[in-house]
Amino acid sequence: MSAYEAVIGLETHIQINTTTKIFCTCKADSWNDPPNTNICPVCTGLPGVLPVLNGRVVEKAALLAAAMQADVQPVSYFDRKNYFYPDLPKGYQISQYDQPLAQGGCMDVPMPDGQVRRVSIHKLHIEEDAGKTINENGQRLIDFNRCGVPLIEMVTGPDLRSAEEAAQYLIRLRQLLRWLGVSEADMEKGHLRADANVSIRLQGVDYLNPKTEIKNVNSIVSLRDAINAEIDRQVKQVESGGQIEAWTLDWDDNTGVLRKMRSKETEADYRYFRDPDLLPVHIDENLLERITADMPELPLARRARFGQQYDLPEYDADILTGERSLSDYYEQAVHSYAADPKRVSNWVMNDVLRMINERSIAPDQLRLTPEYLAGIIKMVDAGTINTSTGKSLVEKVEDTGQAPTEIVEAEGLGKVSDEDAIREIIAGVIVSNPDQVASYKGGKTTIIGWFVGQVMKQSRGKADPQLTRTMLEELLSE
Amino acid sequence: MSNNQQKQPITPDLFDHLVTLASLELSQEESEYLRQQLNNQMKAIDELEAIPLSDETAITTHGVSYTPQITPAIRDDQWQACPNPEEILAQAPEVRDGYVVVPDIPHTDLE
Amino acid sequence: MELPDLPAHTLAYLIRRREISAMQALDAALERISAVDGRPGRLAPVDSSAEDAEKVHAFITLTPERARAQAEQVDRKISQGEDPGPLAGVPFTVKDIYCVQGTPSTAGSRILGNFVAPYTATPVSRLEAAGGLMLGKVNLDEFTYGSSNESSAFQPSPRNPWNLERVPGGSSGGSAAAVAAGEGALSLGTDTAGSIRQPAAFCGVVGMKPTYGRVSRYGLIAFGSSLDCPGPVASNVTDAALMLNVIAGPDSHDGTAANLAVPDFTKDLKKDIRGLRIGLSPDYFRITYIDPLTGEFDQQPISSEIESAVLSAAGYLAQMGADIVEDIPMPHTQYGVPVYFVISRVEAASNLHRYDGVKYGFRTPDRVADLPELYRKSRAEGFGIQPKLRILMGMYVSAAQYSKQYYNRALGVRTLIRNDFEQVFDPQGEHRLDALLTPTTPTTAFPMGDIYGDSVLMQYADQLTVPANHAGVPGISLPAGFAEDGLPIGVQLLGPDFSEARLLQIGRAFELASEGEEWRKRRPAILKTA
Repeated sequence: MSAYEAVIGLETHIQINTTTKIFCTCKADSWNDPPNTNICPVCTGLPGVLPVLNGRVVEKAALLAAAMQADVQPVSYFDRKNYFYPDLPKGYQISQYDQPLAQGGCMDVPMPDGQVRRVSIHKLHIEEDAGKTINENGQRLIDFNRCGVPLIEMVTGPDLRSAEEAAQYLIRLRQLLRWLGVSEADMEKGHLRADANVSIRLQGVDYLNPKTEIKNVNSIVSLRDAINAEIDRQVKQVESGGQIEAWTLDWDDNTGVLRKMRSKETEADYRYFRDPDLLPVHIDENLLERITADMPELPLARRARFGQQYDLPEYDADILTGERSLSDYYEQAVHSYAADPKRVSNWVMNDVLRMINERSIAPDQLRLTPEYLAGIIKMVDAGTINTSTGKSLVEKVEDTGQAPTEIVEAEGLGKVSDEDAIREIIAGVIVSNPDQVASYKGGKTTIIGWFVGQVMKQSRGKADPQLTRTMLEELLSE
Repeated sequence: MSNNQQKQPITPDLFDHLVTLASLELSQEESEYLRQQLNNQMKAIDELEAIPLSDETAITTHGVSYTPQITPAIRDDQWQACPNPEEILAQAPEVRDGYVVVPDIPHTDLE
Repeated sequence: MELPDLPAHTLAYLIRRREISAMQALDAALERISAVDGRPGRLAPVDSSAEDAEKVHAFITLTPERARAQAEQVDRKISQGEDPGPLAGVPFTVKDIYCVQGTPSTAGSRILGNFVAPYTATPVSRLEAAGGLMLGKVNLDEFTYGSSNESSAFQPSPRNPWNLERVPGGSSGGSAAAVAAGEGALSLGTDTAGSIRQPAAFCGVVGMKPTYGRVSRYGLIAFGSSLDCPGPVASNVTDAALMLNVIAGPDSHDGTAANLAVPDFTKDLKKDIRGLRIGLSPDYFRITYIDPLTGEFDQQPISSEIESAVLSAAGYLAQMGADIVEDIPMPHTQYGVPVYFVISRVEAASNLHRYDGVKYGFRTPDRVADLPELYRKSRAEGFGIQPKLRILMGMYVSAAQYSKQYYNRALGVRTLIRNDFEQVFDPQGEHRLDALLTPTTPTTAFPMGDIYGDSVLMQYADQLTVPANHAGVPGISLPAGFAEDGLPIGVQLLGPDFSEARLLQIGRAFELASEGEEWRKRRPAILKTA
C-alpha cells in the first residue's frame, strides 16, 4: 500500500427533514408505513401529474450550503435526468444538473491523529428521492413511499486519502446536519447515504486515475470496510498488471463482498434538459439573509471555543459539542454555576449524559435544567450535601421536576456533620457489632471501611464520610 | 462529413442505439420506416443551423415571461394525504402484499 | 332549433329559468349521440363495418351514468334555490387526454387502454363544479401526435361531420367533431401546435388556445410540457368565453399556472372594436418549407379560397371600426415547425418514459426473462408508430453530444419567434397591434388516409398555428365560411399574452358583422341525414 495513495471523494445524499416531499404534499418521512400507502398521483408518476416545489426544501438546502461556506446561487434550475429503473416512476428524476443551488464550499475535518483535512465541496443541489425495491425470488418488489422525498446531494472533491478520513468526514457531516436541523441523518434509516468514488495512484503524482463508485453503504463502519476492500482490490489489480475500469460496485454488508453493478453510465445517456414543469429557483439576498439569520455557532467552531474558553481537553469538548442541545445545556449550566467549567463538564459528561442515554431524553427536554444542575454542584461545593447525595439528586430532580433545594429539605438529605449525631450513630454500631469490633482491635484495620458503610447506612447516606472515618478511628481505638 | 452522412445522419447503428436507449424493440419494417422518417425530419431540423443566432440570444423555455407578478406562490410545507392511494395501487398489473411486482434486473458479480 | 344545437349559454339560461331541466338537456344530447356517432373507438382488432363511414365516431368512452348523476344534482340545486353554476346542465365532452377519476383515460393509446384514472384533471373538475354534464371522453390522435385523429389506437377514428370522408383534424378531432355534430355544446381539448385551432377550423367551430399558463395542466397527459394548453371548443364565441371563465385560473397543483385573477371573459363581448389595430402578415399567407429533393427553401401559397375568407373577415372587422394594418412582418414564422420538431420531441420522449408496464397501463402478456425485456415489449406493443417516431427523434436530438446543436439552438430560435410577436404587439413599437388576423390552416379538411402522403402542405400544416405555442400567446380559430367543396374555413386571431378577452371581443364582433350570411345557416351533412 505504501507505494500507492488512495484518492477518495464522497457523494452524499441527505434526506431533508421537511414535513412533506419535495414536489407533492405526501409526508417526507414514511419509515414505519406499510408499502405504497404514503403515495399520491404526483409521486407515483401517474399520467398528467405535475411537480409543485416545497419552499422549505430550498430554505434548508440554502442553510446547509451557507454552513458549508458554499456560494448559494441566486438562480438555479431543475433538470430532468432520464433513465429507466423500477423505483423511478416517471422514468426520470427531477434533479439539478449544470446550475445547482450552490457551488463550492469546504469543511475542515479534524482527524483522530490531530491533523485536519480540508474537504472541498464541488457542488450542492436538491433533487427527489426514488422508491425502494426488494429482491425476492427473482422478482423485484417496489415500494413508492419514498419517491419524492427531498434530498440534498453534496459532492466532495477527491480530497480524502483513506477510509478513515472518509469515515470522519461522514461523522462530521452527520453532526452538522443534526446540528442545523436539516436532517435527522440516521444512516440506518437511509437519511444519509454515501457513495464513495475510489481510485489509487502512485505516491507523489498529482493526476487522477480511473475511479470506481461504491454504492449501497449503510453505515460508517460499512463505509470504512468497503473503501478498504476496494483499495486492496485496486492495488492487487494494478500490481498484477491489470487496469482499473470505471465500474459501479455494490457493497454487500453481510458477506463483505463488492459486486459489479453496471458500467458507470456517462452523463450523455441521461439526456439532461430543463424541466419545463418547474420555474427557476430564486434565492435573492433578502431570502438568504432571512434563512441564515438563525445560523447557529457550528459544531467544530464551538468545540474549539469550548476548548479555549473553558479550558477543556479536546476529548471533553468533543463530547460536549456532539449534539447541539447538549452543548447548549452545558453552556447554560456553566453560566449558572459561574465557577470552574471543568467541574460542570465532569458532572455533565458523567451523570447527566448517562441519564440522557438511559432514559432517551433530549437535553432540552430534561426536567433537570442546567440551573438545577448548577444548584446541585454548588450544594456539594458548600458541603450541604455529599457527593453521592448529589449524584442521587440528579435522578430525583429528573423524576420529580422539583428544585434540588426543595428535595433536600423535604427529605432531610442535608449532610450530617454534627459530631454529636455521628458519635451517637457510631456508638450504636459499635455496640451492635462486637465481633467486628474485636476483629478491628485484633489488627484487621481494613474493616474500618465496613464500619463507615454501616454508619452511612444508619444515617441514610448523610453522614460526612471523612468525619465519620476520623471519629471511628478514634472511638474504636479506645 | 460525407455527403451521405449529411443526408442520412441517423445510420442503422445509431438508430439501433436510440431504440435501446428508448427501451423499445422494433420489427425490421418498422425500423426502416422510422429511420427514413427520422432522416427526413432531420432535413427540416437542419434548417435551424443556418439561422444566425448570437450567443447573447437568451433561450426561451416557456413563451410567456414569468414575472414576479404572475409567478405562482411557492408551496407551503403542509401535509395533505392523498384520499385514495389504494386506487393508485389498483392500477398496477401485478401487486403482492402491497408491493408492485416486476421481474428482476440482471446483475454481474465480480470475481 | 333542437336542444343539442342550442348554444351553451342559451341552454344554461333556459335551465336556470326551469324552462327545461338538466335531465332533458342530457337526454337530448344522448339521443343525438346515438343518432350520429355510431360505435365508439375500440382497441384493435376492430372489424370494419360499412356503417362506420356514415357516422362521426367522436367517442371512446361514454359516461351517461356520471352525467345523469350530475344532471340530477343540477336540477335539485335549482329546485332548492341554490346556485347551480354558470354551466348548469350544459353537456360537454372531454378529449381523452385528460384524467377523469373512475373513467378510462387512454390518451388514445393501447399503452393506457386499461388505465382508469384515480384522480380528475383540474379543468374537468372545474367544469363539473360549474354544473356541466360530462357525456364522455372523445377520441384524439395517439398521445396527441397528429393532425387528423387517424393515429388513434381506438378505431374507428372520428370523421368530419361536414363530409364524412374527410378528417375532423387533430389532435382534438373528437372534440371538434362532437361540438360540430351537436354531441355536447362544449368540449375540452388541448392545443400543442394547433391541435384545438386546426380541428376547429376543419369542423367549422370555435376553438381557442389560451395563453400558456392561463389554464392549469394538472391532469393533462403530457406531450410537450412547455407547449400544451388546455382550451375550449364551442360552436360560438360567447360559449368559448363562458367555458374559459370556468376552467382558467391558478391551481396549487400546477407550478406553471399563472398567478393571475380570471377576468370575466364574457364582459367585453358586447364592446365595439372601433380603433383596434388588427394586422395582416404576408408570412401567414404562404407555407415556407425545405424541398426534400433540392434541400432549398421553397414556398407555396395557401389555398386561395382560404386567403379570400381571411380578407373577407378583415373586411367585416373594418366595417365594425377596426383598423386593418397590412404587411406586418413575422419573419421567423417559417421556423416554427422545425423548432417544434425538436422541442416537442425532446419533451415528449421524456414524458413518455413513464409508460413502462410497471405501475399502470399496458404490460406485455408475454413471458419475459427480465425487467429490461418487460420494458421493451410493453412499450413496443403498447405504443403506436407515431409515439415511437417522436420518442426516437427526442432521444436523438437530446443526447448530449447533439443537444448543443439541436435542442439549445431550437430554444434560441424560439426566442426569435417570440420576438416577432413582442415586436408587433409592443404598444410603443412600430405596429402597435391589438391582434393578428391570419388563416388557421393552409387547406380545408383533407381526405381520410391522406396525411401520410408527401404533400408538403400537409407536413407543414401546423406552420400557421405552432408559432403561438412557441411564443405562449393566445389564439382563437373562428368559423369564417366555406370552400367550394363545402368544407369549413377557419380564420385565426392571435394576441399578446393574456389578451383572451380582447380576442373574444374581436371574434364576437366578427360573428355579429357576419350574422346574416348564408353560410352561418348551413348544417353539417351528418345532421341532415340524421
